[in-house]
Amino acid sequence: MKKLFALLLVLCMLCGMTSAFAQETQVDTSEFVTLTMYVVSEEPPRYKEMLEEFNAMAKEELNCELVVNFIGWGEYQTKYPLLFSSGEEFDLVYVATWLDYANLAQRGAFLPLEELLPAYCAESMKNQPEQALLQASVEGHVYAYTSNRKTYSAYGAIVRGEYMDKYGIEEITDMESYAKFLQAIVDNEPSFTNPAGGMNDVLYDEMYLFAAGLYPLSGSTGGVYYLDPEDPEHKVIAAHEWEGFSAMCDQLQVYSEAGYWPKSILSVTDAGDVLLNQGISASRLHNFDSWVGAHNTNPDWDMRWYNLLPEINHLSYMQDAISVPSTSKYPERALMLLDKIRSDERYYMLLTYGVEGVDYTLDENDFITNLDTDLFPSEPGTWGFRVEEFYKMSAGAPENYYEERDKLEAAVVPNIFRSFNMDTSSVKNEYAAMQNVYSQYYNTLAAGVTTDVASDIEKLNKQAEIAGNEIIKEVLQAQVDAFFAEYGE
Amino acid sequence: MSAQEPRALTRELRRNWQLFLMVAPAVILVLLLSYIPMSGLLVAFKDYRYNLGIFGSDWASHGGLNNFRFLFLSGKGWSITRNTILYNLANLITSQLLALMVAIAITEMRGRMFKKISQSIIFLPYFISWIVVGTFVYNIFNYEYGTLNTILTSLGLDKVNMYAIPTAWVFIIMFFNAWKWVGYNSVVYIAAITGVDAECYEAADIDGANIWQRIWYVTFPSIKPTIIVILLLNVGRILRGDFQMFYQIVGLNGQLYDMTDVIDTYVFRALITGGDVGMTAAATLYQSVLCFLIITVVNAIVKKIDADYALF
Amino acid sequence: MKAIQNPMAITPKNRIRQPISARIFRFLGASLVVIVAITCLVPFLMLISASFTQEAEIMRHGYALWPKEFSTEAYQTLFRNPEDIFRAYGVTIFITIVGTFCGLFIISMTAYVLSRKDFKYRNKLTFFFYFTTLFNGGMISTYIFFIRYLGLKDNLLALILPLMFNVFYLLIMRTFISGIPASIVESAKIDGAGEFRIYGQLILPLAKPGLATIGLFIALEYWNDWYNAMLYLNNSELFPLQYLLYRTLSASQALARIASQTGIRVANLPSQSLRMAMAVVAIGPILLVYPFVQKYFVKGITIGAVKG
Repeated sequence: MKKLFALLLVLCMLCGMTSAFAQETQVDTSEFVTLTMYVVSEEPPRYKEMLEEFNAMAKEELNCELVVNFIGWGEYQTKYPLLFSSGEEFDLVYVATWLDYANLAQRGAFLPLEELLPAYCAESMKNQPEQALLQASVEGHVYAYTSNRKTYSAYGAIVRGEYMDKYGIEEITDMESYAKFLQAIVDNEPSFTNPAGGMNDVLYDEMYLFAAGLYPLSGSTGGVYYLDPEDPEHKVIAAHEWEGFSAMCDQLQVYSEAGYWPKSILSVTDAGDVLLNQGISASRLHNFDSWVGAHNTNPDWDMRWYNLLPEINHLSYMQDAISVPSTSKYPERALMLLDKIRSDERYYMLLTYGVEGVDYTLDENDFITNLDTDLFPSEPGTWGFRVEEFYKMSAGAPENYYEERDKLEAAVVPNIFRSFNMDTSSVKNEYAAMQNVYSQYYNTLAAGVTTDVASDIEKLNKQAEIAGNEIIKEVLQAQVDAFFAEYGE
Repeated sequence: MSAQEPRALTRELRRNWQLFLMVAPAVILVLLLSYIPMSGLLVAFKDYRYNLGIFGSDWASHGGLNNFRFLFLSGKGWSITRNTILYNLANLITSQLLALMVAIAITEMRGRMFKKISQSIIFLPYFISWIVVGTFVYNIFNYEYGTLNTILTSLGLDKVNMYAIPTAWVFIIMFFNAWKWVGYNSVVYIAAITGVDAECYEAADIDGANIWQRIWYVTFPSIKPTIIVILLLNVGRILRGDFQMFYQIVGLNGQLYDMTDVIDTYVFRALITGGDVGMTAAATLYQSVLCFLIITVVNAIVKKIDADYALF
Repeated sequence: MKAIQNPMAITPKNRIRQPISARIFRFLGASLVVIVAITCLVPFLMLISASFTQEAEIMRHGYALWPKEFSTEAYQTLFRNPEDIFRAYGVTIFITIVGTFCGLFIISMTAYVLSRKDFKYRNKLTFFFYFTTLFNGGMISTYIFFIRYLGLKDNLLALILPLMFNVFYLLIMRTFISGIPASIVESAKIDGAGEFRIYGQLILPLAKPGLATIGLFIALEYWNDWYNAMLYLNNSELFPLQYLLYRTLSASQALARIASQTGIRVANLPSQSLRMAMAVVAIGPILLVYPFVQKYFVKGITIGAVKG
């Protein structure tokens, strides 16, 4: 009896506490606010019409409205940082590793969210993995609310399958077998003037580095510094210091001479997917999602995907996220709206795919067909709040999509360094100098267009040293060691 | 200010008050749009934080000069400065010379239709953006199917990989620069030439001058002020490269950098990732200070020779 | 004021007496102009041709003088939302006219003052203006000033003000006006004319070639400006023409770089032929305006004595 009474007492206290807690997060929504969100993408022509419907709902249910501003691809490098340096007031913004998230966070661009998220995004937080919050942390604070969709670091070959069959190439498992395919194309199909695809994609050198198990500290492609997660010392090295570097350069030169890509490749500005779609390239090295895209664009062709990396990781959730800038006037209302978008399918579908029946249709398997991608393509700048629960598979997706995806999932190994955020601010000058050294000396080697590999590697080594390579490595190594000490086993 | 100067100012004000009034709008505009924002130059010396703003942020390390280091760290500082100056000089001379020759040729020409049409046609490149020009350049010089190599092979010669010959690009850039601006630059000269007093031409004819002498002794001296102003104005910009031109023509082709890299392209590439506001400002300030020094010296020299031709 | 013989006009006298040297000169001159004109015309023709060429053909074989595979797909895509283009034209025309008019007025007035040798602060004022071309506060502080202190976000004034007063044009204009003999101004002042009257009735008519030149340059700057639009405009209804084009032209370049880092799938990247079509659409109107401006290069001379 006493026990029952005690239990009842505790329960009452809990109820009291939770109701008090609930009252604290009950934000006063009697004031109508206009929230502004900035994303990076091109604005679809029908976007404003869709927003009208969206805001009708938002006004009724949350007493707010949303204004979305698009920063175009051609200008994001200027305009995006300007958003923060100008002190402009806005409420939500798309952030990502490739948009210099860590750098901006370190310089005070965003509001810390570790207290606000559980309070105002309770519903969607139920589906947010711990890892995601960890990866969004910079200097101990969570500055972004990431997408919860798993993506893979798999880079592989996207190839025109019909040519594989034609020349009896059964499978592509590594760079060697890939080279066989390219050779067959070069020998027999002159209409492909750039068989291996453009330079703006994953550079061929990076495939070697990734295949050797090296992880780029920048978290994405185009980085300078790598480490091997399996290395017990987790030593930081620059790409050109990898032991297989010289052999790789020789190999790439052979490929370039063989004609797998044009000699002037460094000046090619066309994107790899365009080259593939226009029949200029027979293949392309890129990631899994690009394969799906290529397949969708060319349903008549047999686009195949071959993973070239033995081990892959989940990409950092910080590839796509939403942050609240420190200048926002209504952070709580903004987060409430974000929570709604991520947990209420009606809001999500409108922003992500448009108006049902006008912009898209769903079939019985819940696969989506876009009705007019010129007017409203899928996911215009919405990757920041993409959620696994509502993500729609395209109806034109390859039949073996799920099969391939499962294969990837099976090949996933954990890599804590995905959560590591590199801080180059104390060596920013050296890092800038190194970027230039790589742009000038490394890229020519990676494209295989040099005449004398050995002497060019010499030059690269020398220039890297002058630029301060050792200094950078010291600083980064210290950061890596500290990170590992805290989060590693 | 001595005791006489304020009196001199008020006297001047009273005498020419209308002139002061006339420059007032321009002065206000310039104060607002250029001088007030000039405080932004400070950011070059600061360790900028977004939440602290320009004035709240700390001073940069290394005595405030931390943001300038990347320009010189890789040892490239001197070569990009040298390239910028040399290219600007070379481009200045070639493009102005071409524009001048074309302007004289057009004004001396007969046939009104011919004059008008040719003037319009040579203006066309001005409108073609460097992005488009970049694609043209690639189309001409690429190894596999470029126009140049197609012509060479049809003549039975070997293909040439232009992108492996850095020196060639100096001339390619000079050519395209002159090509782009010939119409635009010649307009000023044509306008100046039409302003030449025909009495001088008549006098020259009477003296029996042939056309070459006429141009040399009448036309040239008459438009000398215009030529000099344009040269001086361009010298004042000698440290600023035309970023779009270099970036679109050369692209990210490292083999060519030693010969074609200018300050603007170097800075752009250095700051692509982790672009730092302070560093960009530092690079611009570096260019500004050098320009300032150079133009002050040049202007002073010109002033000594003939005060009427100086800029200020 | 004497009647002046225009060296640009054709007179029978010149035709009859033509020494060899003149003919050689004219021949060389004409050859130069023709060569330059061809170099300028050919790329432009290729541009037009490319805009009418099928996309795949361009990607394969580059540009040609005549479309190998004719297609209007670029223009069809472009004018799919013609309201956007026409609206952009309207915005651009508006700011060009307003900006050029105001700019020309302020520049010519200031240039007149600076040309007056008896104005004591002439050189100091010139340096005051010139200094701003050497040192620039940078994009951020100008941006902050415009947005926060002047409140010019999504305001067309933000496109007009920055380009209105260009110091280079000011100094060129000053040189043109300096060419007007000071004696004319002096005699007008003796007659009791005020500065504004001298400026309006004497200087302006005599400086017509200068005004035409600088007016053309200012107009071109406004017509081609996309940078200010990029910084200050979010509202797509206010986009001027060049900005609209710039967004599409550069989009594919930047996207290519990003795609490698994020694997973002993009539905429609603008094609090469689309780029060309857009360029043609932007250039067209200006080419029609230019011949009108050319008139002033001849007209100015017949008004009065303008000494070089």
